[in-house]
Amino acid sequence: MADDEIILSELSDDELVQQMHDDLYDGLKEEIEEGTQILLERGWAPYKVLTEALVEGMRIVGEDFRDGILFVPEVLLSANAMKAGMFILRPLLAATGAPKQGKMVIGTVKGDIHDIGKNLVGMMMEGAGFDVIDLGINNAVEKYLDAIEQHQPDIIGMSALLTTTMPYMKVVIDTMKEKGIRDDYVVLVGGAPLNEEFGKAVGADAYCRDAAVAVETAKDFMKRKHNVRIS
Amino acid sequence: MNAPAVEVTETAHRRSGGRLGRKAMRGAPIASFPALIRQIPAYQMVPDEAVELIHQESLLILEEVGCEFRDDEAIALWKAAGADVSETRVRIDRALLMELVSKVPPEFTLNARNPERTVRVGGKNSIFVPMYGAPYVRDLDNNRRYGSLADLNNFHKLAYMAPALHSSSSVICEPMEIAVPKRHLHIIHSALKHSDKPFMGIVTSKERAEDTMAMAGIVFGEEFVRDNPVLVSITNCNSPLVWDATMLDAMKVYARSNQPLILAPFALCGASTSASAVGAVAQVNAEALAGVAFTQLLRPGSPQIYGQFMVTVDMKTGAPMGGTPEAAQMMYLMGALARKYRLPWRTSGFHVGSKLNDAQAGYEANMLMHAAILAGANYIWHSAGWLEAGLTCGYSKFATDCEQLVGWYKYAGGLPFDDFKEAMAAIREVGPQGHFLGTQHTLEHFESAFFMPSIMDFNSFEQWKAEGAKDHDTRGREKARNMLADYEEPKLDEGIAEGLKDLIARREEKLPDTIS
Ligand code: B12
Repeated sequence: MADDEIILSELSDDELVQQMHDDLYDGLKEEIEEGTQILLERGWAPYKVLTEALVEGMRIVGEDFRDGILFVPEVLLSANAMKAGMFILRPLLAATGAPKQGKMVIGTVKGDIHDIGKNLVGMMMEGAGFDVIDLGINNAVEKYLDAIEQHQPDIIGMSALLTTTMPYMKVVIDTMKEKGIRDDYVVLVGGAPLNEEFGKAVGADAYCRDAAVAVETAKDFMKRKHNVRIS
Repeated sequence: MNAPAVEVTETAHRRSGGRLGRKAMRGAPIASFPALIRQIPAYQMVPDEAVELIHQESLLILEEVGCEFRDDEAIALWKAAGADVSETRVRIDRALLMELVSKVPPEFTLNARNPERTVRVGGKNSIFVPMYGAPYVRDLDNNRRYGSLADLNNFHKLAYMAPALHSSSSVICEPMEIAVPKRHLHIIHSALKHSDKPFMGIVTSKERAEDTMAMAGIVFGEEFVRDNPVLVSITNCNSPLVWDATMLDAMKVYARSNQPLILAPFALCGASTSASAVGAVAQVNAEALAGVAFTQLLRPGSPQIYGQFMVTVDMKTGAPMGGTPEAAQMMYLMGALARKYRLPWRTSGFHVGSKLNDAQAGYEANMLMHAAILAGANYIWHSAGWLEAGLTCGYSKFATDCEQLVGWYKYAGGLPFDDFKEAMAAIREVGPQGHFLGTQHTLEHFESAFFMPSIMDFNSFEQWKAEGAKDHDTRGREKARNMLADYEEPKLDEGIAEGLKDLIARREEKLPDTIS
């Protein structure tokens, strides 16, 4: 069916949600914005729109990305469409006290300019509904601390691709410890020369080998955080 | 009908010393081939007009978009030279650009601490250089783990022993156990101690580049290294169109001492360039030319190496790939541009994405090295060891690459006609239906006529099975192990050896143990 034949507002709720999954898959930003508005107008709770239409749609995208059916540029387009839906939902979610998807500050550490991997992680996190603040490259510890203070994130992400800069992650984590704020945040680290062991050695909560694992891990930590709050 | 089982024609009648003599002759290590002098034409894949079109587009990029130089001194130099500068963005008009580029000599001599290993780079002269930068090694027992100083020493030893390698590189793998602020000292020391071939510099900070120069000064003489190339360093452009402060700092140290830099952007095509092979070349050419031109502001007439290291990106993950056809095609384009500018140029070869020294590695490596050779590259670097897009250096891969380079050295050296007459005589001697295995001509030429790799296996199935049915990866590791067992360290003047140790000790006292 050609897409111009579909009038979103004429679809039933179920059909519309299905269509939004397809539109996310196809990376159609405006259609996602429209679909999000329609569901809200029909009285859907913002959190229900988020989880059933957007997050579920991106789960499918993530699965096909993992299986090599979708490619990076296509996933970025999907993530961008998701972000547009999130933009509408974010204030409403906050107002209704819905559980937060989570906020992440991410940056490449001091002395390092590699950012292709970090950018991918940032975009995939946004695609999963996270609020992402990207500090760019070459970040000294002060930059992370300032960002923590200003944005109050749930997760700190650090990227390094050089064996000469990856030890700097420990500098950041140690400083957080000194300030007594280390345990208030989840610290994720990544970059090709790192590994699980290194992540542990510098005191990170997790090392993630790629963007998909980063999203899964971040979601996991957010879930645990919510559970802790409830109990 | 009556052909004898083995035909032996009259052979030269002389004693060779029997078994021992022959063993000595065959076992004698050849320490190094001279730089390859190419005797085959460079292959141009596209017509001259296409090369010209790309050139013009590169000039337009630098005039209209410009290139970032993120360093105050670099900006001041560009301003003084008359470029159009706004903050860190430098727009360079074609006249200024090409005038600077034309100052670079088309060839230069790269001095080794052993003069017999000194090589020419540029024009028809090409050299093969082992890989650089691997955090991991795939070791002699086939384990993947972080590299150590012992591994680095081993790779420098292998580089020294490999006849077709003309350099020891520097950080073939990272000695991860050494504190980062002190690591560079041990990397350079290892290269200088275990090999007498040319080597590469450290670029990760100005201070480390200066330490490299100080160590080179001890070996070659402080005076000498102020003007004569003894090491080559890689400074990467951060594509698209950014030269950052770290790289510019290293350039200043090296170019001012007449030490060549490689201005060959490492581009992940599709991520750091457009998803078009020709589009990517136009961009990378602009970046490389801007870098080359900048070195001539630092020291006019200093030797430099233009070029590229372009790989395509795996759109499934964003990771760099190895031997794709486009990577090979882009080499041909850059080669044609290099000849147009009369610049020595670098490309990679044997750089693969494979995790193991397996079939994938073989196909990838061959696709790229064949192109590097036919494209006429002068500094063929990442020619040994490279696996996993540069994350790992493999012993087996290293040994295989070194052996295959002997083959490529021969290939590019052209076809000799010097024994053509004798060969024609041999066919007359044997006539129809005979064979040549016992002729005088064969006896005289068989050792050099055809490439005889030792890691490749051409035995009968039964023989191969009897020897353990070993796959290529295993045989490569065995070869590396055997080479290391035979290694003998090249002589190094005692005063120089002490001087290096002193310098390292002095610097280590000053340098911290952790980065901050
Ligand atoms: C592309 C590249 C470059 C580009 C960078 C472009 C850019 N904008 O990023 C350029 C050419 C500029 C470059 C420069 C240099 N590079 Co470089 N580079 C690479 C290369 C080939 C690929 C990196 C990459 O982008 N991969 C693709 C992405 C998608 O993968 P990724 O980064 O690993 O990210 C994924 C995961 O790791 C994870 N992840 C990453 N970050 C994070 C963060 C978090 C929080 C999480 C959860 C997950 C996560 O998810 C990502 C997506 O799936 C690697 C080799 C390699 N195979 O990795 C060398 C490599 C890292 N570079 C290397 C070197 C040496 C350099 C230079 C020093 C070279 C030089 N002499 O000029 C300079 C350094 C410049 C500087 N000032 O820092 C070495 C490092 C060696 C070492 N021992 O430290 C390597 C290994 C190559 C080599 N063998 O020489 N490089």
